[in-house]
Amino acid sequence: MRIKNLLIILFLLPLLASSQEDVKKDLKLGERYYSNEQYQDAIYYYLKADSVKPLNPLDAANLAWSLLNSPDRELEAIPYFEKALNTRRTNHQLIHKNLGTLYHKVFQFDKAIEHFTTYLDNAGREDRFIIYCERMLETCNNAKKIVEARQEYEINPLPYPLSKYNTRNVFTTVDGQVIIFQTQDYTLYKSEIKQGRFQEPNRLFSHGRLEEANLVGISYDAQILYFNQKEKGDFDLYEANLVGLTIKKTKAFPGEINSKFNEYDLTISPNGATMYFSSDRPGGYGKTDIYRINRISENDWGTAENIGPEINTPYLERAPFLQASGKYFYFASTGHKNMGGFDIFKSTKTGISWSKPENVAFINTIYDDLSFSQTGNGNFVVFSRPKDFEPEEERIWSVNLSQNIPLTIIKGTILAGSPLSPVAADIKVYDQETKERMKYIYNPNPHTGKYLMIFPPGKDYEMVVEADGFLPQLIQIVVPGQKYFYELFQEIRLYTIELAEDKIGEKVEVENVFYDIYQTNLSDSLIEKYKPQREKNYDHLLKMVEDIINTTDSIGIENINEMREAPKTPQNEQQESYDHLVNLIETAISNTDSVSLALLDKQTVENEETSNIYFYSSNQLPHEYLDKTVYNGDTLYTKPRLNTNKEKQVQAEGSKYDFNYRALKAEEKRVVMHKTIYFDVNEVQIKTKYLFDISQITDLLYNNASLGIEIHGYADERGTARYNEQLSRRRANEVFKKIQSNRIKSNRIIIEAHGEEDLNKNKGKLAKSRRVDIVIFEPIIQSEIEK
Amino acid sequence: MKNRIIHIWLIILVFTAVSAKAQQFTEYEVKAAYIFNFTKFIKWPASSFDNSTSPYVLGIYGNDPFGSVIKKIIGTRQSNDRKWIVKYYSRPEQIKQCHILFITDINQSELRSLIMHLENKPILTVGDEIDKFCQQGGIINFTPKKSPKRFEINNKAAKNARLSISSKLLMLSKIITTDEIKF
Repeated sequence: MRIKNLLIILFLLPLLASSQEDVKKDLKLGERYYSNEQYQDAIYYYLKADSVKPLNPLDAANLAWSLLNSPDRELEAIPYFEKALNTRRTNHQLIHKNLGTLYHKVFQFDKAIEHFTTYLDNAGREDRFIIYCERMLETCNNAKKIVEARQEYEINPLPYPLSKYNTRNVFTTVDGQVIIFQTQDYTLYKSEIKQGRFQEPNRLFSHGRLEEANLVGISYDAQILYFNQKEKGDFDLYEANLVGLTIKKTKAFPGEINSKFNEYDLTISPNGATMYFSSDRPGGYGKTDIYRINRISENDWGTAENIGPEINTPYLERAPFLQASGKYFYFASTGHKNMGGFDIFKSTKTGISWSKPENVAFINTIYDDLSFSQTGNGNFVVFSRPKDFEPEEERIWSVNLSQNIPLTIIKGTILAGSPLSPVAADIKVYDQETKERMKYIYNPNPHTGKYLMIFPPGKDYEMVVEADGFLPQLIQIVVPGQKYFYELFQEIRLYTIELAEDKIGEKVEVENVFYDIYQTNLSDSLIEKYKPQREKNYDHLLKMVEDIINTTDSIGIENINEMREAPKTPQNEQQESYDHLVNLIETAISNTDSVSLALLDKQTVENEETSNIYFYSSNQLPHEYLDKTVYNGDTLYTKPRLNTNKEKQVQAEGSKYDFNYRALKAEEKRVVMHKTIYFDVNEVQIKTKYLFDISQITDLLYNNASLGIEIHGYADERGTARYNEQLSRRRANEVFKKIQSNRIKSNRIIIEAHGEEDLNKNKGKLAKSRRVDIVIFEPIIQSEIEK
Repeated sequence: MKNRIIHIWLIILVFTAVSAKAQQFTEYEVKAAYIFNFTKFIKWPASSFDNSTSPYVLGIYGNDPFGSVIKKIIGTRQSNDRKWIVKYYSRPEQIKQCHILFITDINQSELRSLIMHLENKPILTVGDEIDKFCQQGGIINFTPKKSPKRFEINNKAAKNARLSISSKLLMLSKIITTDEIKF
């Protein structure tokens, strides 16, 4: 046995000797490649030698420098630099500087601080790395604190299917329902939330022009995308419309926004009036700074100004993002209290100035952090960033901040026609108090009819809707003075009213649904309390688990998975929530718990619908009968204001028209339409061809309590005046009988017999005199005349 | 084996966690749920049912504001071992066998004649935010939003209809008597 071992050793000896030879050869090769700056090869031979016999400090130094100079391998240099400090024949100062830099990258901030401190202690006055090492020392100290603060938040990558994309950038809409992101290969995607989770993203398509453009922002409703792209040697800013999945109408920003220097990123305030952008144009506090520019009109911008040293530092500032409330300004900087590369900072508006920027700890890494986007309520933040230690692969991350920024978001749809479909419309919004026009952004998407508006709390607005084929309509918007986030869903529906193929008026319906998130959360916990127990379900599940364990049946596990999925179908979920509702009410009544019922009441969706019918005037031009309102600079002719806030509505509909229409003077009537019916000689029978028209007029009167009708009877000149007087009355009465039904009140009907008094006008034209004139009119109510 | 058990327990954990979700109901979902629960706090005379399992009949008078909601909330449930049937009426004469009559969108004179028609029949009339509903002799009226109490009850009218309303339900409502009508 021992002999056998001995034999093996004897047999291996020459191999060992030869490997000693190889080490020397490898070291020589390594050194040669190193001095030729062929670092990849040098690394190969040095590592080969190191695997047999540990390198001496000088060789370790060469290997460390080689690793530092090869892409993606710098972190491996750390142990070899450490070893290289064991000899006096290496440049210790440079090694300390590099070790400090590398330890920072692997989050060993204490070690990094040690090395930078040693460097600075030994540095001469003229040393060119003093500034760098001092800054890095500060950065490492910041990083220590920031990494500690980071623990407070739970940040998570967005789950599959979004987790499969290697991203560069991501932006959310103000309601958090849609995200748009760009992958490392510049492809753009859009993903929407359905059933509580982001769906498989859809690819966006553009035509030419945006081959290698970086997505740098989106408007709050994602109808406009912002890009930067290199053009004639420098980066410029562009905007483009997103229609469905197609990017259209790409155009560069005009005026002072783009210069011959680089412009990188931008954000536009929710009212569309101000843009913040980053640029490395000369005259800033550092190389790249953030600038502000005000919008003068749709395509005209004012003068760009630097936003000042509170935000801009001697380092680089980029990626501005203005939160929808306009109160919080986020940006990326390599200055301020930074933990490495670009970090995201937050500054809060105090009066007219911005507070000292704070590091947004939860988001920042030691790499470049340039991506940040937040919803209107402040809760949901998305950003694209690498995992620690893996700078090559970026993912979309999100964090829930449980904030409640007081803002009102109005999500609306405008539809017209029959059947209702999206319509191209122009929306203008004015501040009711200052009469100032809110600039830009409000126009609905012509394909979906959807629009989105963001308002600060406690102000009232007037919205003017101009849709194709309809008169301008003024709609009042009441924004509650709440202290928390509020959503309002609005649907505007426009219809035309037609009579005998003539357009005689239009109807507008506005439906507002308030979604009070705060109250909902309150009563949500209440519903949770009254949830029915799921014991039966558990029993079944437990039995199934037992069976699976007994039979070690792997198919069974899939069954459980299916069971888990089963209650998620919408119907089941709805039935389940109805169960809660019914149980809640029963329990509350049994306990005579009025508080719970009151909370439930608060939580119920408020659904307010207001509508208004407006008839055209047949004898006036639109601007003669429309309301005139003058806002700063704009004169508008609109239909009367539609008051959507019911509490302010004083008079009840219907009773307003409970007066005798006969008392109205001519100027108090707006004529909506005329209709003439002709009769045969000495005849009072209405011809069949008119019956349909008359029934339509009856319907119109029935459906619109405001309308009145005049019936004027005439006779031709033959016969005695007395007889003709009677004949004309009988004709008018005949029409009256057809129109009058128990559905239309008589106070709205005016009958007049004119006999042959129309003589002069239609002299000799006998057939034209034998007639009844019908005039449909709308009374102009007193308050309107006063206006 | 052990791994498998852990695996299964994980699934159970996930299974139970899928519940917290924001919920909000529309006005008529809530009203339907109230109507359903009225049967648990109101007793009808035995003579108003054919037998102990014959269903409750809910009549909806005039425009139907519920749509499909009513079927989903009460159509699939039972209360006191009775199923539910929903009927739609537009004229008083159509109402024959009915336990609850939900009345919406009606003018005062129409209401008066409807109540007259139903006098002394064991029918629970439920008004949908109708002005002076209980004063006119209706039994339960939902009050408009933001009222201090969710509904008002005319208990005298209920007694005339031989319905007995639980004191719990009465405690939660504003009590109105027919005597309050002043001429």
